Amino acid sequence: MSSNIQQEFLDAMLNSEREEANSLIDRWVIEQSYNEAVIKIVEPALQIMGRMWLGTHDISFPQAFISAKIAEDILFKALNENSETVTQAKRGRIVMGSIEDDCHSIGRNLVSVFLRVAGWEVYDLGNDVQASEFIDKALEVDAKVISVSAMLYTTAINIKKLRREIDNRGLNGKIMLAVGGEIFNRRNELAITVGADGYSHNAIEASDMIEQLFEQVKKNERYNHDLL
Amino acid sequence: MSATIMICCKIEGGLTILEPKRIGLLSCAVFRAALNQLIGSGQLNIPIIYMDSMLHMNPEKLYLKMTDRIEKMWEEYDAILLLYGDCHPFINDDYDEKNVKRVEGCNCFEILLGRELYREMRHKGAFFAMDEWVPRWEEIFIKEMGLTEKNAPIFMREIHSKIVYLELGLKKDLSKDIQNLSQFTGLQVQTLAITTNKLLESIQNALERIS
Repeated sequence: MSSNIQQEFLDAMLNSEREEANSLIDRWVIEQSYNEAVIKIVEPALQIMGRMWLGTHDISFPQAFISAKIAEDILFKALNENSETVTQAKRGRIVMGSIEDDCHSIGRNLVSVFLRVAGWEVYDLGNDVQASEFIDKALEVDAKVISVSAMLYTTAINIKKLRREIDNRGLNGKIMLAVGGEIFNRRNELAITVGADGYSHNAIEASDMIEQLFEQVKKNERYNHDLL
Repeated sequence: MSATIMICCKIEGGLTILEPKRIGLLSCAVFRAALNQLIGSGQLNIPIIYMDSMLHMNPEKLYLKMTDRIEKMWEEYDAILLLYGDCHPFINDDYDEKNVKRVEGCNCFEILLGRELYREMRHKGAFFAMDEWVPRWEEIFIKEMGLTEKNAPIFMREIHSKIVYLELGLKKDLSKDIQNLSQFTGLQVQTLAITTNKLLESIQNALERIS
């Protein structure tokens, strides 16, 4: 594979050339597949973009956001391609959304794209989601992690309701609560205050954190099984 | 409405008035025009200190400046009312012990529109624009947010469906700025005439919490 395509795709992403980026991949997949494009082109480009964002801040937030949207475009095509590559890569199901009263979707969208590219099956419920909706969906699709975002302190506090409902329904340890969003980066203690099981600083680290939570659920299941 | 509240103390044999409580209002400059209307119409009578609305772009800086300003205000006031949304990470709990109360609302739009209307419009994808910053939209969108002509429409349309310009009935003609902002973001503009009623209600509620 020519490394030119990787560089051209990265350049198109960083220049917010959404159509050009899509068109590059569309041409490349004539002899390949969208799933390969995700693995060989999109994921490496996202990683580079992520390092630029975290390290030198050489890219703006809109650039990062649009890059993620481009990645999402390709991911969508890969999912529609119905190839085994992506389905085999499924690592588990996650329900995500912004908590009640919170209408900030940008960061959540970024995390969603990073998680899906990393092989997670994500059910994004959108903005202003009630505690019961998160849990109902998690039970419906058998998700082991609910990932909730909040940008403001006043909305982050609503996550406590979700924690209470998880516990009240006897799902503590069976469904893990992950949190993220700008306010948690500025107030690290808040993740504990709202009762989170896990917290990620950013979209890039989210996948590892989710993995740890899934491992924890598996351990709990094994433990409960042994007890029986 | 006056911002001087009498502090009363119940003692044996009746109620004794101790002294008036001096209350100062620390406000984001985004509310200046609305507050001027309330003062002009005689509905509000309170000393107001404004802080630059551009501090909103940098929560850490806003926190430091606000803390500093509040410290200075204690020389003149017994209680401080904050006319701010949830604009920096510690705004809700850092000042509680010091008799500082913030009006309810997560941001200036919710304070002006009230919870129900704000939520309804947010759900419809509204991006709110206000008189105070519209003339400086380029500084905010290009310099602060890093948007460009190329990426602004993609970015804004992903998150919002329209610009809702909150019009307070000022005499300033901002139509050119609004038009330019609309062109830059690729979003259509809807003008929504608003009053200062919800703002006044918010201030009154916060004053009651102080008293």
